[in-house]
Amino acid sequence: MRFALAGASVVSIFVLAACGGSPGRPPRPMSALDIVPAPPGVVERAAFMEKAPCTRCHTVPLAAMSPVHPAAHWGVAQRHAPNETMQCQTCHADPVRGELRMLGGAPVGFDESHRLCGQCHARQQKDWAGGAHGKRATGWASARVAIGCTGCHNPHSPGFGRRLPAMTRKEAAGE
Amino acid sequence: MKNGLVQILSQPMDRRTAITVAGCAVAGAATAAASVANAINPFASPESREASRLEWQRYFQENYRLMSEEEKTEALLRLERLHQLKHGGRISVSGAEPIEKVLFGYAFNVSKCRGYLECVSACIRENNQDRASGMAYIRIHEHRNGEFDFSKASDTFDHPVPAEGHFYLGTQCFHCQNPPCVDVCPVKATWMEPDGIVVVDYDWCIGCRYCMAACPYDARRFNWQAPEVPEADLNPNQHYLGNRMRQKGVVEKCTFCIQRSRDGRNPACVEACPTGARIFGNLLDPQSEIRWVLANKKVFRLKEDLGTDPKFWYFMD
Repeated sequence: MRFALAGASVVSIFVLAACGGSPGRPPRPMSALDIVPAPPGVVERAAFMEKAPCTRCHTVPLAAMSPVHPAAHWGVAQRHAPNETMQCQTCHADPVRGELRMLGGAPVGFDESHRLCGQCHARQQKDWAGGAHGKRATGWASARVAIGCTGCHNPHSPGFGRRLPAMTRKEAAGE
Repeated sequence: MKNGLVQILSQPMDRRTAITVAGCAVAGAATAAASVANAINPFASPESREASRLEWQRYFQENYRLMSEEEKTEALLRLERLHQLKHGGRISVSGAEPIEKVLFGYAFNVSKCRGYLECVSACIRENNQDRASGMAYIRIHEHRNGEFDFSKASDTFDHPVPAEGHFYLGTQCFHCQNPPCVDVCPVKATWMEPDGIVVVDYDWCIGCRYCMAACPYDARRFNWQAPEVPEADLNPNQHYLGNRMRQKGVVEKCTFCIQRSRDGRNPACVEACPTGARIFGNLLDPQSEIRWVLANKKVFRLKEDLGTDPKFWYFMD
């Protein structure tokens, strides 16, 4: 499902040039540590998220609305890192806005997961930017459009599970 | 309107064709003889007679590399028409030529493969591999951690993956730059294309299987029976040197999905891999992902000491 969503949104490519993002997007803040350039394109995802923008429901601070819809995010379990390391607010802004937050508090869009995740997963970020990690939405001959971190990983439970292979043993046995 | 043998004999023919036509009569090549018999049978249906005539022409067509442009076009159209006559459905058989300044290469991330076999499944569907015999170009080997012995690895695992304490490594045709399989072919039915893809002309292969013996990587597969794919499952986008239907008694193998890669797309296995363990691209393009992997990762190849120079690298995170 995630792949289908990601694949459908290839059309919306944004270019992370030095001058900033595409029209309508706030310019990307640059810092001395921002040394891993993203691929020319990253598959957009925010427009296809079910519960976005957050501000559709979150019109008041979390503390004020918690008794109203307590089950809204019950499907979400944080299986990413120990609670002492990560809580919801590590990535989600509070008060809730239409974006995520970097560790230092700076806002970051849902389509820029590589910047957020790269804060801890620097090696994966480097591999992804170069082409050794993750998948691309385009063929080898086209300009490179990479699928962002959350195109494959569920950020709340990023590991890939154990399951049966796609085929049975007989079929895979070969001639 | 001339049919079958009459038409063949009335055409100007080169020495080889003349010999084969004569040889057919003497040696009694069963397939061709049956085609002729049917093609000139006044009681057979027009479709059946046309199919027989096309089969006859196909039986005596040139090696693909020696065909003129017209002959290639004829051969492609013949395959499309034959399929329509026999199965009713329409297929498209491409003869797309290699793209200039392109040399295909492949990298496999051993750290990322988890044995889901999505690649194998996608490959079988994309390349119209025989369903009944379980033909598969790709093998995923389940190795115990700390061991790297293919004789101890399993490529027939059938349990939830990844199994505890194991890692997975896939093999397929490595499209060696110095391919031993090509050297040993007695009829030159297999060769390396300028874009680095090692291909087989299934209509020229005699099924001697020398190439299978010569390949150090177990990359080639033999059709012990006529491969069959249900018409509904058939991939109609085919290439003459790629996923067109093979026949009984010929060798086939991975072609880096030539029907896709020469169209700018990635092979089906690369697209299907859910973990991003497979990387494909142009080795001559310094900006490509494959070049980044080669430049930034510690890569290795299998049996490098043989000097086969595979264009298929493994790496770990």
